[in-house]
Amino acid sequence: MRRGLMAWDAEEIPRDALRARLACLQSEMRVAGQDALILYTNFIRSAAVSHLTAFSPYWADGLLLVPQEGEPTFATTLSKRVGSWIQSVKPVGELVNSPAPAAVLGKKLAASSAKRVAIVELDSFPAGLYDDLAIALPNVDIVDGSQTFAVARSHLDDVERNLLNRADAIAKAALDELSANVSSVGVAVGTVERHARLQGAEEVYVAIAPNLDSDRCFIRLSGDHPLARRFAIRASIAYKGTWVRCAKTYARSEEDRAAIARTDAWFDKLIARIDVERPFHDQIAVPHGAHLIGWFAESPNGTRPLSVIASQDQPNVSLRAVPSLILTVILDVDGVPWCGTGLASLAHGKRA
Amino acid sequence: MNRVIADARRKRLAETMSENGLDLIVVYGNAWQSDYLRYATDYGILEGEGVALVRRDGGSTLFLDSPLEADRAGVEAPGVEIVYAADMLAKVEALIVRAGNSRVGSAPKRLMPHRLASRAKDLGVADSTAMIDRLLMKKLDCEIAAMRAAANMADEGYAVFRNAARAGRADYELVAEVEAFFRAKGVDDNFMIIGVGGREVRGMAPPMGKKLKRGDLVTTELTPCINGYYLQICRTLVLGEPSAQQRAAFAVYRDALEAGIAAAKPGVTAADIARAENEIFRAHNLGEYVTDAYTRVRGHGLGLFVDTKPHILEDVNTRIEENMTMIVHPNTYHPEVGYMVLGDAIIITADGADVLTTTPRELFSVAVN
Repeated sequence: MRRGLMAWDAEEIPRDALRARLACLQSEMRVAGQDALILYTNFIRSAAVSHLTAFSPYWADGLLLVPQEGEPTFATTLSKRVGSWIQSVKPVGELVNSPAPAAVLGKKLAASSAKRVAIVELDSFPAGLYDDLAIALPNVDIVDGSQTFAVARSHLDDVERNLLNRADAIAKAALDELSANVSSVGVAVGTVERHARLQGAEEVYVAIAPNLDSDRCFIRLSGDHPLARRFAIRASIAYKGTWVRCAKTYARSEEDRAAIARTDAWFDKLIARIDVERPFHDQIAVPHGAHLIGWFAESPNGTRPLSVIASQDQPNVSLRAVPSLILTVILDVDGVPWCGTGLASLAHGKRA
Repeated sequence: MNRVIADARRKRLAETMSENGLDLIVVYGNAWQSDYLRYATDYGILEGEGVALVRRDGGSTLFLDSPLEADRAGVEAPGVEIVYAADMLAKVEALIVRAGNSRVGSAPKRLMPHRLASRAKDLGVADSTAMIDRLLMKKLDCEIAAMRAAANMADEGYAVFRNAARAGRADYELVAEVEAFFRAKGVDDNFMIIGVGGREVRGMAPPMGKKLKRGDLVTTELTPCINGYYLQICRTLVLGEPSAQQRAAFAVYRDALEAGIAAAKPGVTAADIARAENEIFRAHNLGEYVTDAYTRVRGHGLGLFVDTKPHILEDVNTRIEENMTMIVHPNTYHPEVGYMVLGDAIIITADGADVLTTTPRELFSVAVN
């Protein structure tokens, strides 16, 4: 659940930028013949509504109704007492607080001339909400609107680019705050989380691989557990609704640190320019002495802030319609395990 | 992760499925509503969504739609078969279809993905939400022990919060200090909201970047999570010496909390507890401020979910039973001083409420230089 800084800043996310995104979506809705589009949000599936309104719920859930023309309406199960807070961080659209948001929006749609209503990610739409909508709209065609949203979402604007870079800077600074000589898992993850929150992170998930020599899996762990001589931490950071991940490998010995520093430099260069026109896998030319263990790439996808869109097992994914990209690479560098994750810059007119 | 608790829950779930004639239960969860999934698999999901298929013999398969989560679950949920599936709902649907004449249940009804819920009728899948709700509300002894451990962390966490509260600091900086403390102490998760200011503050929310200043009421509810169990405490502090109005207002909340706790015992209803709290406000001509225009609930269940059943409201007639755990919190807006909170977590015992949190019920004051 969100518990970091949640504040809207008109300079960081201007209303005009949100209106432009909305207009882009409404244009795609007209092409698709959809009279209205409904987008679900909770703090796990916050990406779509956040993209259009700058709002992410810290708790509970809600629905954004986007008509083909005009302002959207956000209906949420968050209670009335936080209504003024929601309005302070959601600069566009009408707000309704209701324990039955789908019923409220269904009634609104029933009073309109809507004949075809689309839902983003219809398959995973919560059943209780779907039932309320279906009851209110007996003569309306309810269809999946995921593709409509995906097309509108494929553009990266300057506002999102700046938020991504800010989130990335927070993540990197938080990981840099940590010394490789720390001995406790709890102190390590607490240090990273504290620093990220002090820099204004909206949310922080810290995962750790406490002993890279025995297991490269990142887990959620805290408290008084030992850290091995080689470990890695991954910070997943939200800033104003925009998510990035960053991972860093740490080692106690100077020799290991030198190998890690060389690999970090290679990775920084790799993610500084990913060519969307070239096969992705071909661009990961590992450094001399290194062995590629695996890689995967993530991007915002529908309501999900980050979803894996390509990996070593499924490398043939076009990056042309991807707004932003987080790349993870796992290597063995002359016997030193290394994990890196970072925000990539997409070449071909799309730079994050 | 605590294997003893997880095994005890799995055994209880299997027994309950048997009593209800179920061969298989389909359980959905995400990081917000994680309790049903955690009960069945002991996995604390963080990103993406998960669906578990739990068989009556106690075996379970957890489908996750995030490969990062699946990797983590492979380590953190021993004894559960983990499957990463980008097309998770299609895979689960196929398995339900293949279950043929098995008696299948599912939960929770409201959040079950439409694709699965839309097949419930033709596949004969029953709604088992109420069945699992009962398991979630009435705790096993080992679950109660986990909640006592979490209560200690709530008290310690509030002490960290008080020490962090200083004039000039921003609200989110207090949260950063508390979270760092919790991670160091082995608390993986925490629910926390905050309010800073005076009469203009109508409720708590995530931090907005407000700087603390003399005279502010600083409210918070902290809810650290140990082994999946959330335990909450609500307290209010003042920057500087509390005013006479603030002290007088706080006395109403303290009396209401004590009345609510005194009413909490086996056999009463959630409504009885809410009524006991609200009568105190009504006696001070503050009845308007216990309506939903100003407050959400007068307490709620605690456990594998921060805000579980029963909700303590005058129209909720859930019978209170031994081994239920909840917070009683008469939190609401006060027209003279603003939003104020005070709440303690309790276990319902045969003799009444056993209060878990030990932080004094006082309006704390933080010195301002």
